[in-house]
Amino acid sequence: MKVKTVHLQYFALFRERAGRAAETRQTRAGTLGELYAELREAYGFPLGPEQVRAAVGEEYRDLEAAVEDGMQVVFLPPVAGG
Amino acid sequence: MFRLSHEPLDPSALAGELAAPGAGALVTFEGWVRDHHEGRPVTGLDYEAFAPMALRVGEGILAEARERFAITGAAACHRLGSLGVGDRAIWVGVTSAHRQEAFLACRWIMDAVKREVPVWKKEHFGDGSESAWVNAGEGSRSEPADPAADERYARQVRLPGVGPEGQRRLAGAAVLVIGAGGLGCPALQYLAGAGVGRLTVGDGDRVERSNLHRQVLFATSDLGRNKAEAAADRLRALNDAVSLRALPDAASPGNLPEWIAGHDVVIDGTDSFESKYAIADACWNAGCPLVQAGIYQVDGWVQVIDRAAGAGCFRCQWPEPPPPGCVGNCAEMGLLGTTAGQLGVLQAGQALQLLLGWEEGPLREHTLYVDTLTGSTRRIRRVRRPHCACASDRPEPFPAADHGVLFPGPRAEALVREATVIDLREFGTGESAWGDLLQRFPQRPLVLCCGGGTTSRRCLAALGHPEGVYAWSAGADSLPGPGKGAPTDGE
Ligand SMILES: [Zn+2]
Repeated sequence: MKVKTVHLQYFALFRERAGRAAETRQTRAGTLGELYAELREAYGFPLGPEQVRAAVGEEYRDLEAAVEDGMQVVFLPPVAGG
Repeated sequence: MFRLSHEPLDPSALAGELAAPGAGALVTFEGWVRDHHEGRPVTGLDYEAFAPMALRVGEGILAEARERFAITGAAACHRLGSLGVGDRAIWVGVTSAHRQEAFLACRWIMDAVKREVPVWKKEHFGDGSESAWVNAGEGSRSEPADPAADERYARQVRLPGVGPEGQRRLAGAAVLVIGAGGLGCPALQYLAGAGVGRLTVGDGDRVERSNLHRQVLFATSDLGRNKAEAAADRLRALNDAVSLRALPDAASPGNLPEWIAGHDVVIDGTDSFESKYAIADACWNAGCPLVQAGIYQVDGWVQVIDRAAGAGCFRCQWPEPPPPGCVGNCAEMGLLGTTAGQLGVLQAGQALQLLLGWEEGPLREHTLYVDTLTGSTRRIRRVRRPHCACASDRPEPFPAADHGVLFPGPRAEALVREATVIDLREFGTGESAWGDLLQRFPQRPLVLCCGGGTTSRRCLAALGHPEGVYAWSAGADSLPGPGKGAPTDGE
């Protein structure tokens, strides 16, 4: 599968675990779900895909959505602190 | 002396009567007829009084002023009859040896006259209509003054979109803040400051030393006190025009419907997934707009869930809470007080916008994600999720206690795929039909479904919420793929 460049932002728990707020990454992931699995592997994110939302631009996206070259993606964990 | 006059008032003549050798200061006040009242143009007004009584009350006020303040003289004159815009309606003058006492006494007399002297007025409006005769004063002592006229709110009233009408709306509104913690404290401070008429604070916790860096309503001397009560006391001191009620308990599915009733907006300032879901479900059932927020270290989010908006419920966005322990809370993860403060103030701002009826501002269809480290924000649009329980036409789609009720979502759907599913429509919907259901279907997990989700929940309750038995909260149509369909006897 073609290598794509994605611009990632990390929020809350994901920022903490990834140790960064953003990165640009090369990936062969076909879907956002596959991309999340790749990141989970890389950073040890403790949440399964069913507990995570992905957003592209101003919209939430299903994890089945295709990863496109140059895409700006943010993965959002649930956050309840107060 | 106190007088009533049908003739225009002459300030220099009135002041002249107060001349005395011991007087070193004269302070006067004049009330004029203005050209508007409650947003309507006014061209003039009529004053009437029952003179014997008005004079007796007025003289009593002046006598009391001479006792209360070290003054040498006091006089007042109220105009009666027809007045035009700019005419003097009342004149008050006080003399004293030193100016301070005259200033204080003049103000006190004016306030007392306005409050107590029975003078009636009728306003003539620009469109030719006129008001009924109303008491020209501010009514009895127990009746609150017009909040829009209170200098306390002057900056806010001046803002387009607020105005006197908006201020009165705030004064007539009620907000419930659940959790007087890092989010709730700053939210409450600003709501009290803004003059929201009724504030209810619910919190079962006690003030601990580790709270004080972010829960800025509390003083060191509050340690050990219930947070709701300590917060209410502090807020009363901040603004005595706000009516405060403390609920010194933790929110639960059982008490939330009662807590929410009678409030226009709820602010969730709690810090657990359990409470966030319980509050979101209860507010949805009640149709009460809810302002939510959450924080994790330097990041936070804020949003409004409103049944009247088209963006669905909290479970449309996050169908179920994550498994316990996999996302840390603030006690474990640490945070700056200012992060909680920023998000709490955003919540208060959302609540004010909802109360003022501003259309564009409130985050009813978006979530605002805030990175307080870099200051960057991101708005993400929320949408309804198909088959969510909120799409049901039941007035209360979320049960008060959701033990065993499955809301459509990934985890519930995974459970359903493993389970034996029975459709109650095959058995009849009366309780008598369910007597031997548990014996006929010994398999666990066992999921009950029906046409719309009401019967399945009723059945689960009638069966006594047995271990391993669940009710699908939505219609059978929304069940996930294999496993759905006709009951399979003795699988
Ligand atoms: Zn929903």
